Amino acid sequence: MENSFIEILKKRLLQGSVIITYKIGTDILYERCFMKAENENFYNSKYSHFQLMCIIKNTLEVIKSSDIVKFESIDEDTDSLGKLHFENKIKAMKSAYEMYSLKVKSILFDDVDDFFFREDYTTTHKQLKLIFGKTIPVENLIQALRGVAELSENELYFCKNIWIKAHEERKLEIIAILDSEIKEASVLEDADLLAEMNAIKEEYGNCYGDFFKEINSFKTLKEVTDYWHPLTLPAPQIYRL
Amino acid sequence: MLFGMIVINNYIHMLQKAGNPISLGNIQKEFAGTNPIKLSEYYFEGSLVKANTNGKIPKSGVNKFSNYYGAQTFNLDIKFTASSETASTYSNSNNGVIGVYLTGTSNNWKISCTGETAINVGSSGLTTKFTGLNSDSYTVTVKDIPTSKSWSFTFKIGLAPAGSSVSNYSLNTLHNLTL
Repeated sequence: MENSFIEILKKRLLQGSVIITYKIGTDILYERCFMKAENENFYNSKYSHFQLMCIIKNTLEVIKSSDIVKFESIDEDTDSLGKLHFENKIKAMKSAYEMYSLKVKSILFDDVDDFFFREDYTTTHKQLKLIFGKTIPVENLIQALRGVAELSENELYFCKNIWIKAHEERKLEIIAILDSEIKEASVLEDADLLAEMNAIKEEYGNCYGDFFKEINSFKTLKEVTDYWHPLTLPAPQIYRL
Repeated sequence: MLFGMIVINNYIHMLQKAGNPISLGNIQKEFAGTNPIKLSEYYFEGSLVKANTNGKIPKSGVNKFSNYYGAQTFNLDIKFTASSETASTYSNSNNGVIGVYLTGTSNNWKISCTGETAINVGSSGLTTKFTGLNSDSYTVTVKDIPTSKSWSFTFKIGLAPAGSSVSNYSLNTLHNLTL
Protein backbone atom coordinates (compact mmCIF):
# COMPACT_ATOMS: atom_id res chain seq x y z
CA MET A 1 0.00 0.00 0.00
CA GLU A 2 1.47 3.38 -0.98
CA ASN A 3 0.53 4.83 2.37
CA SER A 4 2.14 2.16 4.49
CA PHE A 5 4.58 3.07 7.21
CA ILE A 6 7.57 1.52 5.40
CA GLU A 7 6.65 3.09 2.06
CA ILE A 8 6.54 6.52 3.70
CA LEU A 9 9.95 5.86 5.28
CA LYS A 10 11.43 4.91 1.88
CA LYS A 11 10.10 8.13 0.40
CA ARG A 12 11.57 10.22 3.25
CA LEU A 13 14.97 8.55 2.86
CA LEU A 14 15.08 9.68 -0.75
CA GLN A 15 14.26 13.24 0.35
CA GLY A 16 16.68 13.74 3.25
CA SER A 17 18.14 12.52 6.51
CA VAL A 18 15.94 10.41 8.76
CA ILE A 19 16.26 9.52 12.44
CA ILE A 20 15.09 5.91 12.79
CA THR A 21 14.12 4.10 15.99
CA TYR A 22 14.47 0.33 15.79
CA LYS A 23 15.06 -2.84 17.74
CA ILE A 24 18.38 -4.60 17.67
CA GLY A 25 17.81 -8.20 18.66
CA THR A 26 15.91 -7.38 21.83
CA ASP A 27 13.04 -5.16 22.84
CA ILE A 28 15.41 -2.31 23.67
CA LEU A 29 15.04 0.48 21.15
CA TYR A 30 17.90 2.38 19.56
CA GLU A 31 17.77 5.67 17.71
CA ARG A 32 20.22 6.48 14.93
CA CYS A 33 20.35 9.08 12.23
CA PHE A 34 20.80 8.07 8.61
CA MET A 35 21.88 9.93 5.50
CA LYS A 36 19.68 10.73 2.55
CA ALA A 37 19.80 7.83 0.07
CA GLU A 38 21.35 8.46 -3.34
CA ASN A 39 19.00 6.05 -5.10
CA GLU A 40 16.45 3.33 -4.35
CA ASN A 41 19.08 0.62 -3.86
CA PHE A 42 19.04 1.19 -0.11
CA TYR A 43 16.12 -1.23 0.25
CA ASN A 44 16.38 -4.96 -0.39
CA SER A 45 12.83 -6.08 -1.14
CA LYS A 46 13.75 -9.78 -1.20
CA TYR A 47 14.87 -9.76 2.43
CA SER A 48 12.90 -6.65 3.48
CA HIS A 49 15.86 -4.84 4.92
CA PHE A 50 17.41 -1.41 4.62
CA GLN A 51 21.08 -0.65 4.08
CA LEU A 52 21.69 2.85 5.33
CA MET A 53 24.65 5.05 6.14
CA CYS A 54 24.67 6.22 9.76
CA ILE A 55 25.51 9.92 9.87
CA ILE A 56 26.81 9.76 13.41
CA LYS A 57 29.28 6.91 12.94
CA ASN A 58 29.82 6.96 9.16
CA THR A 59 29.10 3.24 9.01
CA LEU A 60 26.74 1.21 6.84
CA GLU A 61 23.96 -0.32 8.94
CA VAL A 62 21.54 -3.09 7.95
CA ILE A 63 18.07 -2.86 9.49
CA LYS A 64 15.17 -5.26 9.04
CA SER A 65 12.03 -3.34 8.14
CA SER A 66 10.07 -5.28 10.77
CA ASP A 67 12.43 -3.93 13.46
CA ILE A 68 11.63 -0.30 12.66
CA VAL A 69 9.07 1.23 14.99
CA LYS A 70 9.42 5.00 14.47
CA PHE A 71 11.12 7.56 12.34
CA GLU A 72 11.54 11.31 12.45
CA SER A 73 12.03 13.35 9.31
CA ILE A 74 11.32 16.60 7.56
CA ASP A 75 8.21 16.37 5.39
CA GLU A 76 5.88 18.69 3.50
CA ASP A 77 4.20 19.82 6.74
CA THR A 78 7.43 20.75 8.57
CA ASP A 79 7.73 24.49 9.20
CA SER A 80 11.03 26.42 9.27
CA LEU A 81 11.32 26.06 13.04
CA GLY A 82 10.86 22.31 12.76
CA LYS A 83 13.50 22.11 10.01
CA LEU A 84 15.96 24.06 12.13
CA HIS A 85 15.18 21.87 15.14
CA PHE A 86 15.81 18.72 13.09
CA GLU A 87 19.10 19.96 11.64
CA ASN A 88 20.29 21.04 15.09
CA LYS A 89 19.28 17.73 16.59
CA ILE A 90 21.43 15.83 14.10
CA LYS A 91 24.38 18.19 14.64
CA ALA A 92 24.02 17.81 18.41
CA MET A 93 23.90 14.00 18.13
CA LYS A 94 27.01 13.98 15.98
CA SER A 95 29.03 16.29 18.20
CA ALA A 96 27.87 14.50 21.36
CA TYR A 97 28.94 11.16 19.90
CA GLU A 98 32.35 12.57 19.00
CA MET A 99 32.71 13.88 22.55
CA TYR A 100 31.70 10.49 23.97
CA SER A 101 34.15 8.70 21.73
CA LEU A 102 36.96 10.92 23.01
CA LYS A 103 35.99 10.44 26.65
CA VAL A 104 35.24 6.76 26.39
CA LYS A 105 38.69 5.53 27.34
CA SER A 106 38.99 7.64 30.47
CA ILE A 107 35.50 6.84 31.74
CA LEU A 108 35.56 3.15 30.80
CA PHE A 109 32.10 2.67 29.33
CA ASP A 110 31.13 -0.92 28.80
CA ASP A 111 29.78 -0.17 25.35
CA VAL A 112 29.52 3.43 24.28
CA ASP A 113 27.36 2.65 21.22
CA ASP A 114 24.87 0.67 23.23
CA PHE A 115 24.61 3.47 25.74
CA PHE A 116 24.68 6.38 23.32
CA PHE A 117 22.05 5.17 20.87
CA ARG A 118 19.52 3.77 23.35
CA GLU A 119 16.18 5.45 22.75
CA ASP A 120 15.13 5.30 26.41
CA TYR A 121 18.27 7.05 27.66
CA THR A 122 17.69 10.77 27.80
CA THR A 123 20.31 13.44 27.37
CA THR A 124 20.45 13.58 31.16
CA HIS A 125 21.38 9.89 31.36
CA LYS A 126 24.20 10.49 28.92
CA GLN A 127 25.38 13.72 30.54
CA LEU A 128 25.43 12.15 33.99
CA LYS A 129 27.37 9.15 32.70
CA LEU A 130 29.82 11.44 30.99
CA ILE A 131 30.39 13.50 34.15
CA PHE A 132 30.15 10.91 36.92
CA GLY A 133 31.27 7.78 35.06
CA LYS A 134 29.85 4.37 35.85
CA THR A 135 30.69 4.02 39.54
CA ILE A 136 27.19 5.00 40.62
CA PRO A 137 24.26 3.75 38.49
CA VAL A 138 22.77 6.61 36.45
CA GLU A 139 19.27 5.75 37.69
CA ASN A 140 20.42 6.42 41.29
CA LEU A 141 21.84 9.80 40.28
CA ILE A 142 18.57 10.72 38.57
CA GLN A 143 16.52 9.68 41.60
CA ALA A 144 18.80 11.83 43.77
CA LEU A 145 18.46 14.84 41.46
CA ARG A 146 14.70 14.45 41.50
CA GLY A 147 14.74 14.28 45.29
CA VAL A 148 13.09 10.84 45.21
CA ALA A 149 16.03 9.08 46.88
CA GLU A 150 19.26 10.12 48.56
CA LEU A 151 22.77 9.02 47.76
CA SER A 152 24.83 7.42 50.50
CA GLU A 153 27.43 9.56 52.21
CA ASN A 154 30.22 7.88 50.24
CA GLU A 155 28.40 8.30 46.94
CA LEU A 156 27.76 11.98 47.62
CA TYR A 157 31.43 12.45 48.58
CA PHE A 158 32.42 10.76 45.31
CA CYS A 159 30.12 13.07 43.30
CA LYS A 160 31.38 16.16 45.09
CA ASN A 161 34.96 15.26 44.17
CA ILE A 162 33.98 14.71 40.55
CA TRP A 163 32.17 18.07 40.48
CA ILE A 164 35.19 19.82 42.02
CA LYS A 165 37.44 18.09 39.47
CA ALA A 166 35.16 19.22 36.61
CA HIS A 167 35.34 22.76 37.99
CA GLU A 168 39.13 22.60 38.16
CA GLU A 169 39.33 21.37 34.56
CA ARG A 170 37.12 24.23 33.43
CA LYS A 171 39.19 26.70 35.43
CA LEU A 172 42.43 25.42 33.87
CA GLU A 173 40.92 25.79 30.40
CA ILE A 174 40.09 29.42 31.13
CA ILE A 175 43.52 30.08 32.66
CA ALA A 176 45.17 28.65 29.54
CA ILE A 177 43.18 31.15 27.45
CA LEU A 178 44.15 33.97 29.82
CA ASP A 179 47.82 32.94 29.62
CA SER A 180 47.78 33.19 25.84
CA GLU A 181 46.17 36.63 26.09
CA ILE A 182 48.79 37.72 28.68
CA LYS A 183 51.47 36.54 26.26
CA GLU A 184 49.94 38.67 23.50
CA ALA A 185 49.71 41.68 25.83
CA SER A 186 53.42 41.20 26.70
CA VAL A 187 54.36 41.21 23.04
CA LEU A 188 52.35 44.39 22.53
CA GLU A 189 53.96 45.86 25.66
CA ASP A 190 50.53 47.01 26.81
CA ALA A 191 51.17 47.50 30.52
CA ASP A 192 47.58 48.36 31.47
CA LEU A 193 46.13 45.35 29.71
CA LEU A 194 48.82 43.14 31.19
CA ALA A 195 48.04 44.30 34.72
CA GLU A 196 44.33 43.76 34.15
CA MET A 197 44.86 40.27 32.76
CA ASN A 198 47.09 39.32 35.67
CA ALA A 199 44.50 40.58 38.16
CA ILE A 200 41.83 38.48 36.48
CA LYS A 201 44.10 35.45 36.53
CA GLU A 202 44.68 35.94 40.24
CA GLU A 203 40.94 35.85 40.86
CA TYR A 204 40.77 32.49 39.14
CA GLY A 205 43.60 31.27 41.36
CA ASN A 206 41.46 32.06 44.41
CA CYS A 207 38.18 30.56 43.24
CA TYR A 208 39.12 26.95 44.04
CA GLY A 209 38.93 27.59 47.80
CA ASP A 210 35.50 29.23 47.57
CA PHE A 211 34.15 26.48 45.35
CA PHE A 212 35.56 23.68 47.52
CA LYS A 213 34.07 25.22 50.67
CA GLU A 214 30.62 25.67 49.12
CA ILE A 215 30.49 22.19 47.64
CA ASN A 216 31.50 20.55 50.90
CA SER A 217 28.68 22.31 52.76
CA PHE A 218 25.99 20.74 50.55
CA LYS A 219 23.91 17.76 51.70
CA THR A 220 22.33 16.63 48.41
CA LEU A 221 23.44 15.96 44.84
CA LYS A 222 20.96 18.55 43.57
CA GLU A 223 22.58 21.25 45.72
CA VAL A 224 25.99 20.20 44.43
CA THR A 225 25.07 20.23 40.75
CA ASP A 226 23.04 23.43 41.13
CA TYR A 227 26.18 25.24 42.21
CA TRP A 228 28.94 26.44 39.92
CA HIS A 229 31.39 29.26 40.42
CA PRO A 230 30.28 32.34 38.42
CA LEU A 231 33.81 32.88 37.10
CA THR A 232 33.86 29.51 35.39
CA LEU A 233 30.42 29.44 33.77
CA PRO A 234 28.99 27.64 31.88
CA ALA A 235 28.58 24.66 34.18
CA PRO A 236 28.30 21.13 32.80
CA GLN A 237 24.73 20.78 31.52
CA ILE A 238 22.80 18.01 33.27
CA TYR A 239 19.34 19.41 33.62
CA ARG A 240 17.31 17.50 31.06
CA LEU A 241 15.58 15.20 33.51
CA MET B 1 -23.07 -21.63 -4.73
CA LEU B 2 -23.48 -22.80 -1.17
CA PHE B 3 -20.86 -21.43 1.18
CA GLY B 4 -19.94 -24.70 2.84
CA MET B 5 -16.75 -23.04 3.98
CA ILE B 6 -18.52 -20.36 6.01
CA VAL B 7 -17.07 -19.98 9.47
CA ILE B 8 -19.11 -18.10 12.01
CA ASN B 9 -17.80 -16.15 14.98
CA ASN B 10 -14.27 -15.60 13.74
CA TYR B 11 -12.90 -12.09 13.63
CA ILE B 12 -11.94 -10.96 10.18
CA HIS B 13 -8.49 -9.94 11.25
CA MET B 14 -7.88 -13.55 12.24
CA LEU B 15 -8.61 -14.67 8.68
CA GLN B 16 -5.95 -12.86 6.82
CA LYS B 17 -4.47 -15.79 4.94
CA ALA B 18 -5.64 -16.00 1.36
CA GLY B 19 -8.12 -18.79 0.83
CA ASN B 20 -9.45 -18.82 4.37
CA PRO B 21 -13.22 -18.60 4.43
CA ILE B 22 -15.04 -15.44 5.37
CA SER B 23 -18.71 -14.84 6.03
CA LEU B 24 -21.29 -12.15 6.65
CA GLY B 25 -21.22 -13.28 10.27
CA ASN B 26 -17.49 -12.53 10.41
CA ILE B 27 -18.04 -9.12 8.94
CA GLN B 28 -20.81 -8.32 11.39
CA LYS B 29 -18.69 -9.52 14.29
CA GLU B 30 -15.94 -7.10 13.33
CA PHE B 31 -17.95 -4.06 12.29
CA ALA B 32 -21.16 -4.55 14.33
CA GLY B 33 -24.68 -4.17 12.88
CA THR B 34 -27.98 -5.96 13.30
CA ASN B 35 -29.72 -8.91 11.70
CA PRO B 36 -30.61 -9.53 8.97
CA ILE B 37 -27.09 -8.99 7.69
CA LYS B 38 -26.60 -7.46 4.26
CA LEU B 39 -23.23 -6.89 2.61
CA SER B 40 -24.55 -3.55 1.36
CA GLU B 41 -24.40 -2.26 4.95
CA TYR B 42 -20.64 -2.69 4.95
CA TYR B 43 -19.44 -0.32 2.25
CA PHE B 44 -16.58 1.92 3.30
CA GLU B 45 -17.81 5.24 4.73
CA GLY B 46 -21.25 3.77 5.35
CA SER B 47 -22.71 3.83 8.83
CA LEU B 48 -20.71 0.82 10.01
CA VAL B 49 -17.35 0.83 8.21
CA LYS B 50 -15.61 4.07 9.16
CA ALA B 51 -12.09 3.07 8.20
CA ASN B 52 -10.80 1.16 5.20
CA THR B 53 -7.99 -0.46 7.14
CA ASN B 54 -7.03 -2.95 4.41
CA GLY B 55 -7.54 -0.46 1.56
CA LYS B 56 -9.87 -2.80 -0.31
CA ILE B 57 -13.38 -2.07 0.91
CA PRO B 58 -15.24 -0.10 -1.79
CA LYS B 59 -17.47 2.90 -1.18
CA SER B 60 -19.95 1.66 -3.78
CA GLY B 61 -20.32 -0.73 -6.67
CA VAL B 62 -19.53 -4.44 -6.77
CA ASN B 63 -18.55 -5.78 -3.39
CA LYS B 64 -17.39 -9.23 -2.32
CA PHE B 65 -16.39 -11.07 0.82
CA SER B 66 -12.72 -11.18 -0.18
CA ASN B 67 -12.63 -7.38 0.06
CA TYR B 68 -12.82 -7.83 3.83
CA TYR B 69 -9.72 -9.96 4.32
CA GLY B 70 -7.47 -8.21 6.83
CA ALA B 71 -10.02 -5.48 7.49
CA GLN B 72 -10.47 -4.31 11.05
CA THR B 73 -12.73 -1.93 12.78
CA PHE B 74 -10.98 1.33 13.61
CA ASN B 75 -9.55 1.67 17.08
CA LEU B 76 -7.13 4.18 18.53
CA ASP B 77 -6.32 4.77 22.18
CA ILE B 78 -4.09 7.56 23.38
CA LYS B 79 -2.40 8.44 26.65
CA PHE B 80 -0.57 11.66 27.45
CA THR B 81 2.26 12.49 29.78
CA ALA B 82 3.76 15.92 30.34
CA SER B 83 6.49 17.17 32.62
CA SER B 84 7.39 20.75 33.36
CA GLU B 85 10.56 22.61 32.64
CA THR B 86 12.65 22.72 35.81
CA ALA B 87 14.11 25.94 37.14
CA SER B 88 17.90 26.15 37.02
CA THR B 89 20.26 28.47 38.85
CA TYR B 90 22.10 29.73 35.82
CA SER B 91 20.05 29.24 32.71
CA ASN B 92 16.79 27.96 31.26
CA SER B 93 16.65 24.22 31.59
CA ASN B 94 14.60 23.72 28.40
CA ASN B 95 13.72 20.27 29.63
CA GLY B 96 9.93 20.02 29.45
CA VAL B 97 8.66 16.78 27.96
CA ILE B 98 5.43 15.77 26.19
CA GLY B 99 4.80 12.05 25.82
CA VAL B 100 2.18 10.52 23.51
CA TYR B 101 1.39 6.81 23.86
CA LEU B 102 -0.60 5.23 21.02
CA THR B 103 -2.18 1.85 20.61
CA GLY B 104 -4.64 0.85 17.89
CA THR B 105 -5.30 -0.98 14.70
CA SER B 106 -3.54 0.93 11.96
CA ASN B 107 0.04 1.00 13.34
CA ASN B 108 0.68 3.95 11.05
CA TRP B 109 0.45 7.34 12.69
CA LYS B 110 2.16 10.68 12.43
CA ILE B 111 2.63 12.81 15.53
CA SER B 112 3.49 16.50 15.21
CA CYS B 113 4.31 19.05 17.88
CA THR B 114 4.73 22.82 17.53
CA GLY B 115 8.31 23.66 16.53
CA GLU B 116 9.38 20.00 16.34
CA THR B 117 9.87 17.60 13.47
CA ALA B 118 7.02 15.13 12.99
CA ILE B 119 7.53 11.53 14.07
CA ASN B 120 5.97 8.65 12.17
CA VAL B 121 5.06 5.72 14.40
CA GLY B 122 4.67 2.22 12.98
CA SER B 123 4.02 0.15 16.07
CA SER B 124 1.39 0.04 18.80
CA GLY B 125 2.16 0.51 22.46
CA LEU B 126 5.00 3.02 22.08
CA THR B 127 5.42 6.35 23.77
CA THR B 128 6.76 9.11 21.55
CA LYS B 129 8.43 11.95 23.42
CA PHE B 130 9.06 15.53 22.47
CA THR B 131 11.86 16.68 24.72
CA GLY B 132 13.83 19.84 25.43
CA LEU B 133 10.70 22.01 25.62
CA ASN B 134 10.45 25.47 27.15
CA SER B 135 7.53 26.33 29.41
CA ASP B 136 4.93 27.32 26.81
CA SER B 137 1.84 26.12 24.94
CA TYR B 138 2.20 23.37 22.35
CA THR B 139 -0.20 21.88 19.84
CA VAL B 140 0.24 18.17 19.33
CA THR B 141 -1.47 16.62 16.31
CA VAL B 142 -1.96 12.90 15.84
CA LYS B 143 -2.82 11.75 12.32
CA ASP B 144 -3.99 8.26 11.46
CA ILE B 145 -2.35 7.83 8.04
CA PRO B 146 -4.71 5.24 6.47
CA THR B 147 -7.84 7.25 7.29
CA SER B 148 -6.20 10.72 7.07
CA LYS B 149 -8.07 11.62 10.25
CA SER B 150 -6.32 14.04 12.65
CA TRP B 151 -6.83 14.99 16.28
CA SER B 152 -5.21 18.03 17.88
CA PHE B 153 -4.41 18.57 21.55
CA THR B 154 -3.24 21.68 23.37
CA PHE B 155 -0.54 21.18 25.98
CA LYS B 156 0.68 23.65 28.54
CA ILE B 157 4.19 22.98 29.76
CA GLY B 158 4.76 24.78 33.05
CA LEU B 159 7.89 26.01 34.76
CA ALA B 160 8.34 23.95 37.94
CA PRO B 161 6.90 23.98 40.52
CA ALA B 162 3.97 24.78 38.17
CA GLY B 163 2.55 21.64 36.62
CA SER B 164 1.81 20.74 33.00
CA SER B 165 -1.48 19.77 31.44
CA VAL B 166 -3.40 18.95 28.26
CA SER B 167 -6.69 20.75 27.60
CA ASN B 168 -9.87 18.66 27.97
CA TYR B 169 -7.96 15.46 28.74
CA SER B 170 -6.37 14.03 31.83
CA LEU B 171 -2.75 12.96 31.85
CA ASN B 172 -1.72 9.33 32.34
CA THR B 173 -5.17 8.04 31.35
CA LEU B 174 -6.05 6.03 28.27
CA HIS B 175 -8.53 7.88 26.02
CA ASN B 176 -10.33 6.37 23.05
CA LEU B 177 -10.33 8.42 19.84
CA THR B 178 -13.14 7.94 17.37
CA LEU B 179 -13.53 8.75 13.70
